[in-house]
Amino acid sequence: MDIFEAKDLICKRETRTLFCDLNFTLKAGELLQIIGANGTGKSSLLGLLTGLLPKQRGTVTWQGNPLTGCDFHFLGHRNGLKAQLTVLENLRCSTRLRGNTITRQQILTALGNAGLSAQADVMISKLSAGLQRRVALTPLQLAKAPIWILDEPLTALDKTAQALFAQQLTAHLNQGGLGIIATHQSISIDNISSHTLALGDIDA
Amino acid sequence: MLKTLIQQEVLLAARNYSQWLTPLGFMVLVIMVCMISFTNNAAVAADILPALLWVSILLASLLTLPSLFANDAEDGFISHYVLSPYPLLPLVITKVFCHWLVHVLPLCIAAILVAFGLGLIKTTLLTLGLTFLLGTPIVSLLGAMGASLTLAARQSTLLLPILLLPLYLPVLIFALGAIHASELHLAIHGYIAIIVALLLFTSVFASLIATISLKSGVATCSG
Repeated sequence: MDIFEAKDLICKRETRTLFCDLNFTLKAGELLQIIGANGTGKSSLLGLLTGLLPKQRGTVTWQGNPLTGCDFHFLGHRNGLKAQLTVLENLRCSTRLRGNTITRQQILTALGNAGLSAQADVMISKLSAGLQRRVALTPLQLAKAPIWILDEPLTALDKTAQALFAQQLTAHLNQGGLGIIATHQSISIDNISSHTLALGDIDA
Repeated sequence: MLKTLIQQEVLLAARNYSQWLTPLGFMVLVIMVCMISFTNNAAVAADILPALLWVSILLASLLTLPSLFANDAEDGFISHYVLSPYPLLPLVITKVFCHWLVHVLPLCIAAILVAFGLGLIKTTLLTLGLTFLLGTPIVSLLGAMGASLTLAARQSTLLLPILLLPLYLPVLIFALGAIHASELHLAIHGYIAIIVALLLFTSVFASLIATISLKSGVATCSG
């Protein structure tokens, strides 16, 4: 079964407990939106789920097995792009690191779909924050992964890019993918079962 | 895949030339100033030249270390390494190799050119080159270990030299021992063997420690 399960997660920062005994399960085609004020542990929760933060307690499983890097796409609040490389060079290297062999043509097509064709050979440092974010979102289309774990994907995006992202997310969920998204702007999509996890309302 | 990583690092170095050119310039300046200050004592100058070259390489390489992983942590690229389905250890070793190739190798080449220009005799020059070739990868390996351990401590510019310089001493001592022996036309095998042993030891342990600390440290820098 395509079930994503997080069990018994706990997050401590310095002396504060941000959350404890956090449990949730997510089935194929479902979206989880993590909301909460700044500093309530949204990014930390995503870190625990992806394994970037060491877990003090609890488990994260996908189809009954511990989650591995191939199962998901992660985009943190940093874009993971090298400022001194061009868009094409960045995407080539990051997809190779994920273990996907992707041709230049495929990258160009994905960039075209994202409306970034003109920027393919531009250095990341020369792009605006919104354009950089759009480049960082492109790998989601390049290599398929069942789970998307995204931290504030809509930051700095304009209306058109937000609509495009919503459209891509819908397509991903309709194909049986899962989405776990930390966000301040709630994403509403028709015909999708969307859950909301609110952090910050537990007593420390 | 590792080839892509090496290509990327070399490309970044080519575009960010101040990153490796600054330590290179620093090293050449240090050597020049020292040599000039010994002008009226040429014998002493010739005596200390190999040691001076080695020490200036160590000091100049310290300048390059803070950015070894910090750049990747800054732009979030480090999550690509950690989340990659490939094991992290080979990626870290590749990263260390790239550091050596881009930052340390130019220092070695410049140091040998300077030594040649200042008239070091041929056999000593060869031994110097050999100790550079075998010894400086240790500098990169230990440096990567230090850089990854101090990644979470943002202000690591002072911490790193304090942590690393004592660890650099064994390779420095044996490298200079080898050079001294070759100046006296003695066998250098023993010294070289010890440097190789140090290299093998650090390539296992330093890269392992760097890998482990990166795995547990990523969060503190990106969360």
